Amino acid sequence: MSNNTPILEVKDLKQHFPIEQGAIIKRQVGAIRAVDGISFTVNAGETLGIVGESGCGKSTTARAIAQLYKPTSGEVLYEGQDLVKLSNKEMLSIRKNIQMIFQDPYASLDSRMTVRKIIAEPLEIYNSHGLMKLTTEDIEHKVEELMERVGLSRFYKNRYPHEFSGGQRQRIGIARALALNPKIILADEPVSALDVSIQSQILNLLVDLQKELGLTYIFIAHDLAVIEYISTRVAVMYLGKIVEISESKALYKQPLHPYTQALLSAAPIPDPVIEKKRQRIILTGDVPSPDQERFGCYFYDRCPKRMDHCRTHIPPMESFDDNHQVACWLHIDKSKWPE
Amino acid sequence: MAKVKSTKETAVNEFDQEIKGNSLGRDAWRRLKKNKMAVASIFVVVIYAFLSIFASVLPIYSYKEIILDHQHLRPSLTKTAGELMLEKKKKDLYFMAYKDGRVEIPAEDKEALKEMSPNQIWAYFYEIGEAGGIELNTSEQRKLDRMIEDIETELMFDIKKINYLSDEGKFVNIEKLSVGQLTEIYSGLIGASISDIMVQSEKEVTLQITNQTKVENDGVSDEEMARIIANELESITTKAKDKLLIATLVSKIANQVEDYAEDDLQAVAEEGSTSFPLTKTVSVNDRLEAKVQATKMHDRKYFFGTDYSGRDMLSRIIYGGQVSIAIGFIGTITSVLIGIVVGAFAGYLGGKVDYILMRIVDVIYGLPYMLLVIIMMAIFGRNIMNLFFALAIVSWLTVARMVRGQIISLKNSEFVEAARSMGASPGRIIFKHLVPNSLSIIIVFSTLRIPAFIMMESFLSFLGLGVSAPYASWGSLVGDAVEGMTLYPWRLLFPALAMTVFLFAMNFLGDGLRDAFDPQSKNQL
Amino acid sequence: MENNKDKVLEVKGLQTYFKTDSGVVKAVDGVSFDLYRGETLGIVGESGCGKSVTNLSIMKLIPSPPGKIVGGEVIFKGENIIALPEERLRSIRGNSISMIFQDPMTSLNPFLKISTQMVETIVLHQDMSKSEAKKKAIEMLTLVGIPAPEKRIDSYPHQFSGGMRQRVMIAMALSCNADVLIADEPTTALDVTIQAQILELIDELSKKLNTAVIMITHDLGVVAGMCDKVCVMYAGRIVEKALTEDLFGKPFHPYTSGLIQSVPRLDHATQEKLFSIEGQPPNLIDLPDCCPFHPRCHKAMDICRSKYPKLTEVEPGREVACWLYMDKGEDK
Repeated sequence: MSNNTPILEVKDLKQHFPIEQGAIIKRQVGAIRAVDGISFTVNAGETLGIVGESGCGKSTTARAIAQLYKPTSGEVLYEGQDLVKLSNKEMLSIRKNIQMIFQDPYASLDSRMTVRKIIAEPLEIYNSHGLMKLTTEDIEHKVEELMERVGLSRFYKNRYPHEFSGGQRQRIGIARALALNPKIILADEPVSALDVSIQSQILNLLVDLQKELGLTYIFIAHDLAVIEYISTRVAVMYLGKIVEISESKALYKQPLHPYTQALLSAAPIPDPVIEKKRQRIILTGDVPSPDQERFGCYFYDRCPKRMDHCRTHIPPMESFDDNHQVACWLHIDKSKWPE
Repeated sequence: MAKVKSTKETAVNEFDQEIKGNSLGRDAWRRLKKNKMAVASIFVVVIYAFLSIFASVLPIYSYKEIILDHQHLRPSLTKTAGELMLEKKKKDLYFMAYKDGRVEIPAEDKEALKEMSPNQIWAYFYEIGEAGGIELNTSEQRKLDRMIEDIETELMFDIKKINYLSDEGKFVNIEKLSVGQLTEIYSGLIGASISDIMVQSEKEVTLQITNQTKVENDGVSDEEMARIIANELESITTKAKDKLLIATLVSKIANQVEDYAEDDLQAVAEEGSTSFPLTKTVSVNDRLEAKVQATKMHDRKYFFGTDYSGRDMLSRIIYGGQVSIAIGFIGTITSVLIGIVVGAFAGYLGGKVDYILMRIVDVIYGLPYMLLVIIMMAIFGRNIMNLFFALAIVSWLTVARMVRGQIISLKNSEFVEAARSMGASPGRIIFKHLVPNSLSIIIVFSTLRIPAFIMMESFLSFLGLGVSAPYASWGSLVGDAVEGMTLYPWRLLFPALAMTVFLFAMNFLGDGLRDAFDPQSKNQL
Repeated sequence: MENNKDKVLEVKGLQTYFKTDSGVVKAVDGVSFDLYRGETLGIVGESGCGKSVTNLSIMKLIPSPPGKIVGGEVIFKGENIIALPEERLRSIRGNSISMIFQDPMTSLNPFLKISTQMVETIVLHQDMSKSEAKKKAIEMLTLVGIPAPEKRIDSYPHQFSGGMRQRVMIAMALSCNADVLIADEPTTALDVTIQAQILELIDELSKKLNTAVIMITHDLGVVAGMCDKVCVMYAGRIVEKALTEDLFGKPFHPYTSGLIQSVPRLDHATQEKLFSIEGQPPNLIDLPDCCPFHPRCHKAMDICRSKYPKLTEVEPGREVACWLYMDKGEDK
């Protein structure tokens, strides 16, 4: 399914949100380090899953890639072009290749627009900027085609989003994302707000679309099982950092980072027999606030296997084998440890 | 994946039951229809709007027609103006008779009289007088008789159209004739020389322009005024001047025609065999004829009474409502439009733009707005346009703040992010997504804003700063009425009532709309 | 075997309807189940299936109007809660039957200290002085694993993280030795690692205090790990009721089996296409008298379209509402 040509490359991406104080003259007193230096590549046709708890920066990563926020530093290379440095106009011509699907099927559709208008909006924007030349009939056809493609009857096109159930609304969101024939789809928790039976419908739809259209997904979720099902590779994020990135199967078979291990063991399995036998690694405490700079391992506070060295040194990303990288001192030979 | 369930053009659910689509707006409308108060309010507002819009074609008397004989007539559904005049005169005469000591009344009544209001006293003597208890002297009786006769015979003429037989042998409306032709006709009518008439009309027009300019430029020094007037007279185009000349001449001719008609018809009226109103074509001479409608002046009925110069209160209230409602609506629309634009940009762009715009709003907010309006009215002059302009300028602030808040709360929602990820420009996001989503709140606010505007306008008019005669607004009518409040209560009561009903309706409608739009009241699971 | 246990709560034919503009929503339509001391009952289903309304109806907390409990009984210690006056109910709520909600912030007053709120609840329901109540509160906070409870008890709710707030809620819910604890999606808003902490806490405490727990959730994994018995709800009705092991081992109702199969699983990678139940849950307004699941059911028969199948015991301790398991002659 995937070949090894990188379509998107993220290099040392940082997204800090300033905390400001002062009534008239604003002065920055700190920053929320939502994403704090992450690097990864996405190959054409694959699905990169990004998993992590809330506040780990996975959604911010997606938005920074889509240039909804201007990244603090770092590069986002799409087919070799750094999106961060592009002007709004240049970005617009690339945007059609990178589209997003959002988490909340209720909030992500404008409730004052009909389904037709929602799906046609990206086409109309591109038309108005002269980047596409579509007639009204073209757009109408395209909307109907997209609706049928995502499994909605085209007779629904004059209805409003509030008349649909969550799953159907998510389908509308997917149709909208597909309207510009993108190459990459950033799916930000597309199924976490949906019911179990609907979730599998949407997952299957996404898999089918990928096969048919050769899409590349960056798929964000907090549900490990969903990520396992859909991803070719998985990145685990914690507190704005990637702690482990690997081929999907290898990660689930042999998680290396203590955080990944804890995550996997905490996720419930819908089988009472297995559940009764399982030994859980229960992490203590909560995710700390990302508002201060850290000089040691980001996971130090909650790590069950922490060492003194971890407190003062940030572990670098090290290759464990070809397709498996981990940022943990446990997996770095002691001889290579810095002083 | 869900299959296409049906090939029919209507959407159905799993059980093949038809489901109808509707927008949030239609949903709100459905809910509004269930609210009885709101529906009643809509009716009231529609009736008011209808009366205001079609005021000029309604069968009501002109709001600026002054008939001094009809001063302060009380409202009556059945009695004509003539009967009321007579009744008023009689009351007056009976009371005078009592004052002169020609009427004997019981002692206890005398005591009671001291407690009574003037209206009650008049009514008391009228009762005695009508029962024959008061003898009027001859001069009084004569006055009364003359009045009765006048009421019987006095006519009013409404000249519908004056036609002139042109050289081609066709009748043309004289309003379409040239200045020269009109001068000729007029000279033919009154026998004066053409040049005299020309000079006279020119003079009148000049005076007219001068007066108009004086009213427009109130409070300037005399030299300044003279300069402005000279300037104004110089700058007027021939065409505009001709228009004024034609109007002057036409009205002069019309006066002459009225005299002819009066001569012609008065005799008919006195004879008493013809019924009025009567429409008749009067031939003034062989080339001039006029279509005249003659009505008995005192046959009118005033359902809401008359004011101090004999103008019909009903039509004044309707025309006053026209002004008040127009100021309410136009003022609200203007202020809402300004508010939406300022608020939306401040809210969406944020940062410095927001900071500067909001500080401007804060500063204007800090000024006492009534004072501001009063100052503006004083500077730019008292007319309706300036009034609503002044009100709009100070009242967009609240809208701007409200819209800004709404936009800020919406701008981080996912559908806005979705639009941005598709490359939508800020303008598109604001006007296609954010504003439509704030619209329900804006509509509710505007509905509740209209009464506030009307109140403000009325307040200014009440103080004498707003609309001035011959125009009226509810506020100015109430303001005028306050003086004779005890003697002529209807002058206060009716405009106040009309205003109250409208304000109530608007407020109920606003509340109804808020309930209808509010997702909280949406009783869906 | 259940008969010798102590039955604490019995729900019989509960019906809760909501009146809306477009018709009557039968949110809960004839739900019955028994709850025994020390047992954990799971109610599982998708959003809108009526599981939360069931739970609110048990406490008689349905906002009325538009909601109304139109039928059924909730028998707690021999009393029918539905028929009790409001005052008597208040002494049961939060005392004998406690609740934990999805979002702890909605049930904690943000303007009051934790100590004030906890002491108030304890004093209201138990015969204790304020200082005793405070001691009890600290004891409960220790029990739910809040570090330094003597200090933290004087904090405000916003000073706690999501997981900690949920712990405080559990401490409050259990501070009055409740007989029944209703947990309505207690971990849905929490992260996986925190969820594991909270679930373990609820499990441990209910065993220790011998409290019966009703666990309302949409997550089959949570049910598998926590519950002894499960009720699966669909469109306001219970479609299957069984012991957890039986249900997951061999689901009877096509909806249950579809639900179990459509969850991607961590323990064995799903290579082939994920199973999915087609279509959407039905609108509960004016539901026709048929099996509400039939449009999505791949085993649907003619009878499913015309008549609703009653919940029937098909094996000892297992009840299912499906025509597939019913002798057609017996119940026509």
